[in-house]
Amino acid sequence: MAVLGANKATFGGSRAVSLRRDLAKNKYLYLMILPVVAYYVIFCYWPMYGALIAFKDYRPGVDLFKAQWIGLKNFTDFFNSVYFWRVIRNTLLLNVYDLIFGFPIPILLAISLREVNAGFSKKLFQTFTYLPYFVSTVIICGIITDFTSTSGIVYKILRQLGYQQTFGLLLNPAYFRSIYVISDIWQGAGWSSIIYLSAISAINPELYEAAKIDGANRLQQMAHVTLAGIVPTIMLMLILQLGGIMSVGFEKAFLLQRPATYDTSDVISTFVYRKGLVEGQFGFSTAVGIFNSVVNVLILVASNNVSRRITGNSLF
Amino acid sequence: MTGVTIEPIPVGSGPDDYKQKLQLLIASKDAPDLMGQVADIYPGGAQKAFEDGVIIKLNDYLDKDASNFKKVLNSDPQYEKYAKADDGSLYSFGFFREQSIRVFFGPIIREDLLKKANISKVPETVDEWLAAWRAFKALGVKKPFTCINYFVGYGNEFAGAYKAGFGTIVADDGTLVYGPIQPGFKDFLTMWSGAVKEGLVDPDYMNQTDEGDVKSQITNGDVGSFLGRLSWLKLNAAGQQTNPDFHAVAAKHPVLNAGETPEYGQADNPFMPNTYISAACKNIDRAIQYLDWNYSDEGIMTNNFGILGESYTMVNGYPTYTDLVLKDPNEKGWPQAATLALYCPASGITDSVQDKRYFEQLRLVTQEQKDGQPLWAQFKTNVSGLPLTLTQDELNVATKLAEIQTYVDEMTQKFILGSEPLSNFDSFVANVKKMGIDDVMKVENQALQRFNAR
Repeated sequence: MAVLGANKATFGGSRAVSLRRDLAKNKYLYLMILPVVAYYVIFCYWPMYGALIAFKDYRPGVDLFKAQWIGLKNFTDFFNSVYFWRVIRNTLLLNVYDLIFGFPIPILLAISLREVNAGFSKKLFQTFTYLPYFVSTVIICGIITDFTSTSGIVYKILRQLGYQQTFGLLLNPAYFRSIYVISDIWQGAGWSSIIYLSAISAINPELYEAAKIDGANRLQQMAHVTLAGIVPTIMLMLILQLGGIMSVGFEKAFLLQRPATYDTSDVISTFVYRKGLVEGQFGFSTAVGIFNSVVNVLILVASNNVSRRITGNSLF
Repeated sequence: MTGVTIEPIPVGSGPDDYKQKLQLLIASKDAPDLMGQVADIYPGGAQKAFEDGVIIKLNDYLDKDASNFKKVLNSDPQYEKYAKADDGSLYSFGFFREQSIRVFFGPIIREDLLKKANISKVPETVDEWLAAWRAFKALGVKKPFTCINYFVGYGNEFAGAYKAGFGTIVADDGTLVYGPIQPGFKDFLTMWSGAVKEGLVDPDYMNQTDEGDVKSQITNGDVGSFLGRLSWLKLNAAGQQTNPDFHAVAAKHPVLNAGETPEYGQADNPFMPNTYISAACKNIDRAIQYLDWNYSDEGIMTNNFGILGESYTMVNGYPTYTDLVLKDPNEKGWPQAATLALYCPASGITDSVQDKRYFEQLRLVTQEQKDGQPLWAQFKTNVSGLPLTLTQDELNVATKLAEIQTYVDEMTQKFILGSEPLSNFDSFVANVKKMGIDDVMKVENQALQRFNAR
């Protein structure tokens, strides 16, 4: 006990010495991480001073540091805007639907892919499910627009099934979220399943053998070996996705929205775009962006804590 | 000819790419010596950009280095009125055009289909348009009317017949009013949403932003009538490949009662600002001399016709484009405008004066274009925005318009699609008023008075 206590004292007492020793010992490892650290400092932390714009009356020709301070005016303007609750609600709902319907599908896909043994058809199926991921969003949105217009196949099928409206689906606010989420699943499910597939391949095959000997059938193996084996990965992905629950990618929402569907399609990122780039209110849109990031971080930390308490898995 | 070499900065081709790039360049204190669209991208407009030290004012240079430009500017009182701000400040070089060549947009209809339906004349009133569309539908035409989404606002077509519009418009008494809250707008919406419901107006038009796509629908024969540019009257040749009878002609801007002069139409402003000079430019005199050359007689000829003996020759004193421009002898498959662009910038907005003889040879080529353009030129007021100068206080009020317009665009589409009943029109107007449209119109009208007094 005494020895241990003495050791601890040396460690705590001269951190600098031990850091130096550590640096000398692992100098190549530190050298290797240097570019990564530099990347974050230069491209992620340094530009953060630009967030000052949110508290200033900024115009591009005036030096940022000389622009007049206006305190929290941009933030209060946003909270008081007639569109505040609408963009928050739309952003949240799109993500919640994406989570409820989109999150489980890659997991199911990965689990079922493991059960397919035939090499060729498995690879073919996998390739087909990833492929849409590599198509650019602009093209995906073009395809969606065509398919859902009155001459498009999706519209025609729905029409046969009793859809009443004579105009394209993208002009109907009630359909925006479904179109957005379904196309997201179509585009991303295959790609997202890769991480689960790799987690599954790391499961010790002996576990399956043991389960078989104990008399577990295929479904039971799926539930108690495969699914149980990838729970840490699932939790990790869930926390990450929750961390982004207040952000919707700009491109897709922007390309699919029409004024007629603003009710459901106007999200924080498209709102920021209209304010910042179209109307030139840089300070205002930066304030909205900051608000968005702060909420995202809070949710990330909260969901991380909840997950740690319930399942013992966490990001940090 | 001027000894100045221009080094262009490439930008992407998206609608907002230029805006973003220039904003970034200005913000990073790396603004190019010459730049366009400053008034549109800079918050507070050209005046603010000048006050913030981004661009220079041209007034002091007019006599010394820009005598040609000054001569053009003074040649027509309209030019000066549109080019200068309320206080007489002049911030940019730009594009001058005389009255007759500033109109190039309006409704177009398939005359062959009208004939087939035994309708003897091109529709003039809204009722005649509706009758024509119904007849087209009976003939099996897929889309009796369609267009590009933003085209409906260009000339306020159809809405204009009801003395209403999709944005700010000029009322009978010459003041500016907000079109979507005029009583006529409800009548327009009633007619228009009815036409959408009846399958006469293609509801997909609100989705359509791709000109090529709409043109191919037209030439395929799916479309009975549409809104288009002057060049779209040349689609006849392509349309005749699928249907030898295909014949589209221009129609007047629709009115309510026969014989009326249409209220609104498209006409560009006499002067369109183009190039601004950066305050950081190291040799302002030289930059101005370079731009000024484009307004000299030699410069105007070069800007419009290119190189004598190559892209044009003089035939009885009339500068005539050569076959190199007109006939595409190398069979590159380029449109004339693209070939001409090798020699001069005439087919776009530039820093010069547009020559009527350019327009006659390249924009009024087919008989349909020659007949159509004067029809489109018949209207009382044009809808393109006036270059008003707003003070900082007025600007603070006027920025509300963007938020209002978002709401209005959304509601307009809903009314048209029928997803919002027209009985809610009054509460829609009340909401627009609550959002502060009256304050916005008040400052716009103050600015208009100053503009009229220029």
